[in-house]
Amino acid sequence: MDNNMVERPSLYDTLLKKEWSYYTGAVVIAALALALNAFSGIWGVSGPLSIWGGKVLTLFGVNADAFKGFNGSLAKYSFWGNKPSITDMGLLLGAAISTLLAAEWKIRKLKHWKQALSAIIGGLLIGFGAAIAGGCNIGGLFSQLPQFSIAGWLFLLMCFLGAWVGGKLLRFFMPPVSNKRPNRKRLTPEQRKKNKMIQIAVGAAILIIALAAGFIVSPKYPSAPAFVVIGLGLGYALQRSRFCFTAAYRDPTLTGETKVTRAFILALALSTIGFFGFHAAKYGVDLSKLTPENMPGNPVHLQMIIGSFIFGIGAVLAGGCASGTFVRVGEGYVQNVIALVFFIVGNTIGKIVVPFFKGTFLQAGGTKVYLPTLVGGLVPALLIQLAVLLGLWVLAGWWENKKKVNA
Amino acid sequence: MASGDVLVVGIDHTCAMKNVPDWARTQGYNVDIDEVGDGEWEVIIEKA
Repeated sequence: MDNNMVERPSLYDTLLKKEWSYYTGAVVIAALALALNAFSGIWGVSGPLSIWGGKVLTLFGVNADAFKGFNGSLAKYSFWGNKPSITDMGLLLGAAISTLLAAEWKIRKLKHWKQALSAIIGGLLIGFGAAIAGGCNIGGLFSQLPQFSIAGWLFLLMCFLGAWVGGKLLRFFMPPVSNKRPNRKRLTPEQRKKNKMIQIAVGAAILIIALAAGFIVSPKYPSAPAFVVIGLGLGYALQRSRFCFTAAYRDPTLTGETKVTRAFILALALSTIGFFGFHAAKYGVDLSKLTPENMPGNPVHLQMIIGSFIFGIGAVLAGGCASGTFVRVGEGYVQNVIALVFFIVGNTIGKIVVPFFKGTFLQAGGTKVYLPTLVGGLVPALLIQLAVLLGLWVLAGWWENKKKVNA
Repeated sequence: MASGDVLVVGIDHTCAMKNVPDWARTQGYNVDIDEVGDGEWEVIIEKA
C-alpha cells in the first residue's frame, strides 16, 4: 500500500502521465483564457454548435439560413474563420493528445442504456439552455463573471441550483451496481510497452498535424495558429488536471467535495484580475470611455436566468458541460459523443426559437448590468468581487469539512 | 466494512481516477492503484 511505495516516478510519468493538481489546472486555464481574450475577445464554446446543426439541416434540403436565428450566418461560416470552432476542436484534440501521451486512451463504452438516455436528455438541455442563456458556462459564466457582468453571477447561481436538481435526477439514470469483480483482461508488460509506444506516437502525430494545419491556413487566416495553440492548451490542461466545471457546481451538493469548486473560484479570481487590467485599459479606471454601446457583458432577463438553470441540470445529466463534453469526447467517452450530438440538436433548436421570445416577458427589461457602474468604479468593483470570491472559497472549504464530519 | 477489509474499485474514468483515491486518502485509508490496462484501473482501498 501507499506507505510501502518508494518507487520514484520516471521523467515520463512526471511530465506526461501524472495528473496536475486542480489549482495548477485553474492557473493554466485562466492564463490561456486571458491570453485568448487579449488576442481576440472572450473564450466561448457553444457558439458554433447551432451553426453546425444548421449546416446539417441545409444538407437535408432545409433553407435554415432563412430562419431569423441564423439570418444568413450559415452561408458566411468558415471553420478557420470562426474562433470558437477552432478552440472547440482544440479542446477535443488537446484532451486526446494528453490522454494518448499518458497512454491512457481507450474507447470508453457505455455500461448501461441509461447512460445513453441521460446523455440524450442532458445534451438537449445544455444545448437549449446555452442558446437561450446567451452562452454556455464558458461564454455565459467563466468569461462573463470575471468581466464584472452581473449576468455571469446570475449564471453561476442558477447553474448551481440547476446542478443540484440534476444531482437529484441523476439517481434515475444510475446503472445497477455490481459487486462482482469483473474479469479484466490484464496486459503483459510487453503488450503494455507496445501499446504505450503506439499511443505516444499517435498523440505526437495529432499534435504535429493540428499545429501544421493552423500554420498552413495562416496566410488566409492569420489568427488561426494562435487559436489552435490556445485551444490545444486548454484541452490539454483540462484533461491533465481533471479540472471540471460541472464538478465545481455539482459536487458540493452531490458528494460534499469542494476541491474542484475551490480551484474554479481561484480561476474566476485570477480572471477577474486579468479583466480588471483589460477594462482599465479600454474604459479607463474612472470609466470615462465607457458607453452603453461598448459596455461588456450579457443582458440580464428571465430568459437568461431560465437558460442557465436548464444548463445546470443538463450538464450533470450529460456528464459534462460545454468544454467538458469536448474534452471527454477527446478522451474517448461514448456517452459524451452522444451528449455532443444532442448538445448540437438542442442548441440548434434554441437558436431557431430564441427570436420568437423577442418582445415577450422572457426578454423584458433586458439590460446589461456592469458592476463597476453600480459601485462607483473599477477599483471598488475589483475589491468587492475578489472579496466575494474569497468568501465563497472559505465557505466551500468549511462546507467540505462539515460534510466530512457528518459523513 | 471492518478495519483491514479491502474494497476494489474498478475505474475507467480519468476524473474518478483522481477523486476516488483522493477521497479515500482523506478518510485515512490505505490506497493502492493498479493500472490494469490502457486507461483502466483498479483502486484498492484498505479500511484503516
